[in-house]
Amino acid sequence: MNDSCINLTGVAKTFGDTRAVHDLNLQIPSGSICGFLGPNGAGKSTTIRMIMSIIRPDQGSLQVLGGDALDHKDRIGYLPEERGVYRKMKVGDYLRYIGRLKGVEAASLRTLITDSLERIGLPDVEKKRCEELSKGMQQKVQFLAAIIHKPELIILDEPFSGLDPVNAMLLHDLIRELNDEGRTILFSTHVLHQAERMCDRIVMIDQGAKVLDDKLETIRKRFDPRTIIAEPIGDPTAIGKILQDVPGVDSIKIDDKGRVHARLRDDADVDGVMVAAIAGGSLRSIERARTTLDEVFLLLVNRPLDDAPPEFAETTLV
Amino acid sequence: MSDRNLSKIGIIAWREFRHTALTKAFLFGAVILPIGMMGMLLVLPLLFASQFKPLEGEVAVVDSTGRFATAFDALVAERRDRDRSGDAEEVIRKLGIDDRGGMLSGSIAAAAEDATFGVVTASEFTPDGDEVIDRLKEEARDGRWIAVAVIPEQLVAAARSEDDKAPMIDLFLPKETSPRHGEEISDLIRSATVRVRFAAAGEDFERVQNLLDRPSVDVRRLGSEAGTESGDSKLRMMIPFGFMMLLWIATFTAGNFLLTSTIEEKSNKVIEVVLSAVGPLQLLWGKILGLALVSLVILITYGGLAIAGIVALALTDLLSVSLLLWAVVFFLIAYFTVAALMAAIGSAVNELSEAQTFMAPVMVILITPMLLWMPIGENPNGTLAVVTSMLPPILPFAMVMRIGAATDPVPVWQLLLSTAIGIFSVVGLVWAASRIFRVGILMQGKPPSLLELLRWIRQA
Repeated sequence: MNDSCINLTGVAKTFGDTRAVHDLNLQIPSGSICGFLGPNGAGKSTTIRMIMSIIRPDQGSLQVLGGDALDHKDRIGYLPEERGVYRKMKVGDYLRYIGRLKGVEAASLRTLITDSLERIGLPDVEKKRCEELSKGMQQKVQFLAAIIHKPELIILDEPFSGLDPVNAMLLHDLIRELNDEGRTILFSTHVLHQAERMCDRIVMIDQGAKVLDDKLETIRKRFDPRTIIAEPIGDPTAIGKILQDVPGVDSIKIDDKGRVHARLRDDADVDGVMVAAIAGGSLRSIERARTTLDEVFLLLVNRPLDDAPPEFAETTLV
Repeated sequence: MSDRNLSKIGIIAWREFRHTALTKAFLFGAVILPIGMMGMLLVLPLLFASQFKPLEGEVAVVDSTGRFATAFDALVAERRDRDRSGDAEEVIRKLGIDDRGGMLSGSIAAAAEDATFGVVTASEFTPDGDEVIDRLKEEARDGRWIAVAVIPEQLVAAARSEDDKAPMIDLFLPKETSPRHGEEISDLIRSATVRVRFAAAGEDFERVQNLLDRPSVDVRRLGSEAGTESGDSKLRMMIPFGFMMLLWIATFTAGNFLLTSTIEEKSNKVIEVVLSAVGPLQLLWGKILGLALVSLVILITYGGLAIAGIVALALTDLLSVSLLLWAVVFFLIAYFTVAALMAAIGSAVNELSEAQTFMAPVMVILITPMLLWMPIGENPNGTLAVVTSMLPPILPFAMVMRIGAATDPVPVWQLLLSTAIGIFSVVGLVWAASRIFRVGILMQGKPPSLLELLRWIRQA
């Protein structure tokens, strides 16, 4: 197997006048769990559909599992953003149908379906029609349909959308399990804290272009704010003044909650600054600030995540 | 295409078939209901017949000539004989049914006899004032007579002046007499009156009747080769129409299922899940083939009923194996034509209501053969028939009418040419439909215009 499960080079796609994706280069290492992040309309689903060969790129080359996704459909599990079920079909029949289409032997499907439904907390729904299930239950069935054939590459487009916290946690655990089994996982989301919790790699796109692509650890280091946040019990200005004079401290800010933010220079001794802060007076808390992915996004594109451009209007591919 | 891909088409086809044809709604609506209706059509006449009581009893006739009762009884006997053989034979012959053994007419006549006349006689009374009539009416009320008829003397007189205003026969019926029996008695009395007139004039009624009897005609259609001829039949006109209707029902019912299932997959958003497992063309072919089986089930159900009916009526000379084989060829062409159109429309729209825009022109074109039933049936080898049977996409419908209607077989070269054009157009249509399907199946939002569809075909 190649080191990269997915390999995109110079991929571009345009719908009418809208440039959905342009000049996208992307390598997803095998065995990784990669978050594909970006605001609504950034081009995540379009990219995923191109990876799945559901739509063709206008230009660029694209390799999935060393070839075209069409040739490896049975090795890929895919949960689309726009997903549904055959409403009149029984849950068991639906999973059997998708399983058979994904190349699973009919003989092994029966126990596989029963066991899988039990694992996702739906032990009694096999004989029910899909339309009898709640939306959350249907989503879990859809997730199961995506992985029923035990694929080596799993692509999930907004897998958590519409799930309650309990089911989101269940899904989170399942995805981690699948990754622990050595399966490569690429999932898109615009809810960044989920990605932060799960991923070892992050790809961020905005307006069809990649703005970030790195390991989470590296990103954290790269965007380390180098800031100490101290919350004094007494007067914050006193601590502020003390820290101002500590070597390596670049600037001091006091926020409206009375916390002191000491921005450090690159050569600063972080531990030394913290010791100085503690010595300067009683503190309720002191911590090293960590940049969230939201802040990274803000830094990269100079606007917050929720200030995203509108979805592509009119007739667009789903 | 690899075995794996073919097996996926098979899996899709089986799902389409199973979830369309093996449902209670389909089995009831498309199979049990028509069979039931057909059964009702056969059973209802028997049911009615079982409820008809034959006319039985004595009619009291007040008549001055003294000849009425004899004429009446002779008439009843004659009618009964005619019903036993003549009428039934005549009807069967007119329908073009080959019943030389007389089995069919015999059984129909027996049923008819049972249903119409039992023992009906007339008793005569001389007019003697109103007393006789009042007494007879009273007796009729008590059930002695099934009717009391008063025949005015002028009506049975041999010589009547044309200026005389003809009086009417008074007929008194007990109130429980059924309308049908009332009609029959009235008819017998009127006919018997005519016979009495003949007798009064000294004419032999039977001789005059024989002279006036219009002979029957046995029409035989001459085939193009010596020695080939076939019976003429009013049913012959129904055969081409039946063929075309069968094709219509089978292809359009399945085509409609194809349309709705495609739209359902789009609106349910299950399409992308399925497309992550198979290619759009595999999906399209799976759906087309699965619903071809559905169409075949409908064809076999309805066609089987029709053929059973034809065999039961001993009309098998109207059908032949080669005719049925050609019908199957044109069924396939018709099905794939309709299926390609429906799949293309289904993939291009999001809702059934949007599909109507595209369905309208398709229906207008495909309904044309139905409007041309009469001219094609009248002249199955005429220019109109030949041209329409070569014209896609209506050619299969026109051709089945021709092969059903032709006394002379449709020339083989025309059948082959029509098949070739049909296959060529089906390949083109399925190709275009697959291009539209590939783009349309993932498209949402405003449905495309006709121009956009053409662009999809060019660009897909």
